[in-house]
Amino acid sequence: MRGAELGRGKELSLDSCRDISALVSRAMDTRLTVGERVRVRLHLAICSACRRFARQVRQLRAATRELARRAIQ
Amino acid sequence: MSQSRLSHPATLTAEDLPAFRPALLRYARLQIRETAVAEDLVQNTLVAALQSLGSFRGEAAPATWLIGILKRQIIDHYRRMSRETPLSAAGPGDAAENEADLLDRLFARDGHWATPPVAWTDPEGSLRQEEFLAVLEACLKGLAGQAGRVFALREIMELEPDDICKDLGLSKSNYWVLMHRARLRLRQCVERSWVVERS
Repeated sequence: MRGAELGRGKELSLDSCRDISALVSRAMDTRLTVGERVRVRLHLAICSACRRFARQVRQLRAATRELARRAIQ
Repeated sequence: MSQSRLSHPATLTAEDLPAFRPALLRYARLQIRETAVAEDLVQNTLVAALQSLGSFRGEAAPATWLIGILKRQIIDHYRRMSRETPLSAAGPGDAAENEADLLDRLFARDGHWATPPVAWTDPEGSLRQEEFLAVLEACLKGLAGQAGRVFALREIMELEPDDICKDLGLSKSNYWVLMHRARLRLRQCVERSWVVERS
């Protein structure tokens, strides 16, 4: 996934928001490797935009499930 | 689940079934854009339920049992859809549709967010929560194609990723790409409509 998605802009590629957001998204559904988790944590520590993204995808999950729950009540 | 008669009748009879139609339709409409299709799936669900009333043992609430049947109908529908629109046939939200475009729009060349996510005002308080859910529901309806289907299977029907891959014939990496795309789109849509707090 790395190689394929990075393409250009190699200089920042490993810890770019673009890559980290993909890992954050994947972490919603699977356990990341230790290396990936460290990369995410280091990045989130310095990037408020990705911290918001991480928070918002969790919010979206909770709210979507709430919608589903309400629909069948 | 409320304590209404609908939720916990002692038995389930053919006459009880129509009362469940609105709830089933609401549930189907969350993940099926075309009203006619959603109605068909609900109809099929009620017919299937009628045919297997004998197997309803009351172990689950009737609504839960019926939703289980509806879920199966939706999964089968999705499966037909993904066969009919292979990944190469691009539609909005499909894997082949400008995967690069979406990411290139959302991210600058150096990999930073082109437009960084902004803080959302917390939808606390019941009125705000209602508004937030209404925004989300509208955005869910706009989530098209395979990405929308994968998202619905995971987040509305709460299936496991492995089962979703099996149902739709996706590779794991396809799945991650589609889910990520769905989340990026949904997030962007919600942010556009939701009152945001610049910080």
